[in-house]
Amino acid sequence: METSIVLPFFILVIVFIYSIFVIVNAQNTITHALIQATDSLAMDAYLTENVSSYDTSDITTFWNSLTDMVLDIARMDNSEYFSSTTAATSSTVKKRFIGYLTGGDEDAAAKKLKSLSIVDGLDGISFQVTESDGNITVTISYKIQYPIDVLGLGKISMNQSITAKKWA
Amino acid sequence: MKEKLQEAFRCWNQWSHRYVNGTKGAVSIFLAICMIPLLSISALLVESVRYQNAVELLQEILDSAGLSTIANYDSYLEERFGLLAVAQDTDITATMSEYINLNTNALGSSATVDSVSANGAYALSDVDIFEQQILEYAEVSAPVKSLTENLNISEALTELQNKILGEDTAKQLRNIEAMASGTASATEAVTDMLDAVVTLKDKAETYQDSLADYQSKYSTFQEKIQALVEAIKTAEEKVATSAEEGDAETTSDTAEVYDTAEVKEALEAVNSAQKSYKSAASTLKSDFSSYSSAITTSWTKIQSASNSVSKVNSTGVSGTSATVSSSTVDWISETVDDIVSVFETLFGSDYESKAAEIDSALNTQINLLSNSFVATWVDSSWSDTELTSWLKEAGYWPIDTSFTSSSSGVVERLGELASTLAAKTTLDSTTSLSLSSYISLAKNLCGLSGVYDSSLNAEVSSNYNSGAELYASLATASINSILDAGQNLIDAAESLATVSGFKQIIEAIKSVVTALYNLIKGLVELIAGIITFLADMIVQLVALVEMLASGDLGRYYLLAAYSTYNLPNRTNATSGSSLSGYSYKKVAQLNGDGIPSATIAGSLLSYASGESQSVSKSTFYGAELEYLLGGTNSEIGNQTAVFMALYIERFILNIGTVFSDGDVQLQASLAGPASWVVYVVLMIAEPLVDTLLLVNGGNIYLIKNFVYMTPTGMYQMLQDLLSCADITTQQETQLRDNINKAANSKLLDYKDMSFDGIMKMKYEEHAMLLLMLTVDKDTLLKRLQNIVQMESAAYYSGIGFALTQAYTTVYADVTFTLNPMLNLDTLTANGLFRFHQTGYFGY
Repeated sequence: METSIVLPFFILVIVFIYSIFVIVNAQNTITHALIQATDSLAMDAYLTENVSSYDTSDITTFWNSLTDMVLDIARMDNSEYFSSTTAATSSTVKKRFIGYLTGGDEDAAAKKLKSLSIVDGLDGISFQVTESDGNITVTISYKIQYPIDVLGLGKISMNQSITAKKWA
Repeated sequence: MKEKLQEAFRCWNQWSHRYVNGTKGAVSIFLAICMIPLLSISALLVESVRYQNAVELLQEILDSAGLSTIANYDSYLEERFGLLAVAQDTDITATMSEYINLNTNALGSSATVDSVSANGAYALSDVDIFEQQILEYAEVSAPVKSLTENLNISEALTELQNKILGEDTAKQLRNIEAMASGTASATEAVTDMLDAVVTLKDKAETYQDSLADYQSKYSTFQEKIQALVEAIKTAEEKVATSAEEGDAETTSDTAEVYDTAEVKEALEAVNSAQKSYKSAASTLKSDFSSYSSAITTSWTKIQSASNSVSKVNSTGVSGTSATVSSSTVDWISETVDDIVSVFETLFGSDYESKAAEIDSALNTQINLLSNSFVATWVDSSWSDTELTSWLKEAGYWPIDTSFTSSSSGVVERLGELASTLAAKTTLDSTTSLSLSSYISLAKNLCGLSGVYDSSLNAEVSSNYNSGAELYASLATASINSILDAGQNLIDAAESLATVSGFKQIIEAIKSVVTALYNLIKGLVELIAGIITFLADMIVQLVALVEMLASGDLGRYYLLAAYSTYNLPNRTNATSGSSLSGYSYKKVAQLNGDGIPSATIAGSLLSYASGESQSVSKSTFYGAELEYLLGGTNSEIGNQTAVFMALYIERFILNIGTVFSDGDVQLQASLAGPASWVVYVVLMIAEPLVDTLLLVNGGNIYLIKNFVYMTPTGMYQMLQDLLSCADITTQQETQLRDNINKAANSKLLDYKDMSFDGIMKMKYEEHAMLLLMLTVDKDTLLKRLQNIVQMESAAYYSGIGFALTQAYTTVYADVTFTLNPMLNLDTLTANGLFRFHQTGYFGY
């Protein structure tokens, strides 16, 4: 009798401790990807507007440095960049986030997020991006699934936002 | 044995029933005992993991905040110069703090920001930082631009090396300077010699008059002696007649003869004539002494002139057989030789001993003539021949004052000498016209606009004065005075055809010589300055070639290319743009009014007359590349400095071509004493043409294989000038007129001629080479910083800009408190752990 009461309690404690680790790990991983994605988006306007491609019709402007030349060539196949006059979209943010999470592999990102106990994995994360006063703010919302879910109370809502200055 | 075990088991059961009460509550106690360490360790581990994660995320947040802070970069600096620095209206600490506080919220309550401090570091005023940014900006853009402009800097340096070092241009210039200096010394000696000849002629005229008077006085003296002889003879006859007639009063024959009135009267006449003769002899002695002194002086001057001529170094230039001053030196040599020949004929080589003898003889005669003549010295029986013989023996005969058998007619001979010299000095009208046209053409070129663009006339704060070697005074004054001296020489040489009279002819020849001296002296001063410039240039050229060989030229080249292609200059201030596409018109508009219209021609003559007018402004209108070379705070001064530097560069690189050109050699050989005029005018005018073409938007070969200022090249020169220079109709007419005259109206078919060379370059590329050759890296960077400061301060007028606050890095110092998971108010209000982090965030 006594054991039947104590044992579940003991297991609960262990699970509780385990779940703290899971939450901390998930939060850490997602926050890292969020910060890097935001910084990257903030640099986009500069790359788009100031790193000039060599235009054969007008040979008066050139790459401003070796780094610019390399970046410009590397960006040639990727159109997911915005300028200071156009807003970034949620899909852009999502793709940038996936890039920093798993190197751009969406399936791997979904798998990883599931392993981090994110409710609905990648689909469970909502991305929002706002721009004001020259800043770009990326906000993500998601839920972490607590190992013990009683009456739906085991989902922890998380809301994080990172702000960076646009290089425009 | 079995019983003992059973007994032990029974005792255990009794004890456990008694004290433990079986298994009631045992699990709880066991759990409690196990959980305490387990929970403790688990909590510890959880906290440590939390803190570790928080630390890593805080580091990322700090990096993000740093990136956001430096995102407030100065867009003007970036767009105009390609430099990145934090905008000066940014409060760095507040900005950094704002982003850190915003983003720390993403961690929930895991950490709290205690303090944030952030400061700018590594401003663009630091030369190393400034240089590094420029190099990064220019590493691709500058070489690509050079490629599109078809400029190969390595090839340019190699060609310069071959031309200047391989052909030893410095030695050629030194040779020319030595020849010119020697010729100038020779002309000075010739002038002194001619002065001595004029003085000699004056003395000779006086001497000849004295000699004529002396001889006349002797003739009178001799006549009086003859009269005395006759008187004595007559008296003797009278006495003899009286004796025959027995006249008692006659006691002594001789006494009676010399006491007669007639004899006494004749004797008195002789003494009077002797006195006059003595006076004439004294005058002759004095005049002869002056005359012989003048001869001595003349000989000394002749010897000096002869020595000077022999010292003139006639080494060829550029290894060719052409000698610079052969015609002029030949003329001087011939002049000296003609004078020597006449002098040797008139005076001989031992005139000094002869003069001494004559002086002594005259002295003896004067002493003799001091004694009264005694009548008894002569005999009445003497014939004229005997009397003459006696007079010679007694020492009364006129002293022979001639030096040689040909000494007579000194004055006439000197007059003939002057005519001979004049004939050899006179220029025929055709040659004179041609040479005058050369000079007029050169003066026309001096009148063309080009030394500076007078619309770029800003004068900025004297704080931007970077100290420069201006060559304006070197060339402007020299060029004008040289051309004037050349024209004076031609005029003087031409005037000899109509001059007559010994003094007038000699004065005219002296004018030729004096003009030649002034011409050459001006050239020597010009060349001396150019040699100094060349010496400094060679040091830098050698260093650059070594860098080229070892592969280290890149950094220096990038700096020069950045400067050239990113800053406006006088040829592209209204139409060009920088490497990033920034229009140079906007640079001028920083002054608020754009580039004003030009009111002054900006010619060599207008600059020399001080016509340039600068206005005080906050930044240059467009001659910024010229500032890097000139370094003064005056835009006109800098343009002039660059014009002169280009002029000197062209002077140096054209020397060999000018002296080896067949047309030039032919022209000089026909010019006689004015051959220097040909070479000098070409040396001056040829680089002037090149420079005028460059500053007016034309292209010039680095090494030319042709000369513009020849009958072959003049029409091509006119065509090139008309295509790019701002020439008025009047100037064009003057140019054409002078070209026709200078080329002797022979329009050669210049279109079939080859006007080529090595590496055709425009103004800014020549300026880039000059930049690499004449401005050291530290000075260049300092001046570039001044340009950045000047333009940015003007752009941000009212707000202010200082390069010392153009930070390229932000240094942040942040302290966080790591909060525990469970906040127990008073117990955990101030977290147990602090996290302190610093970082540098730069472009």
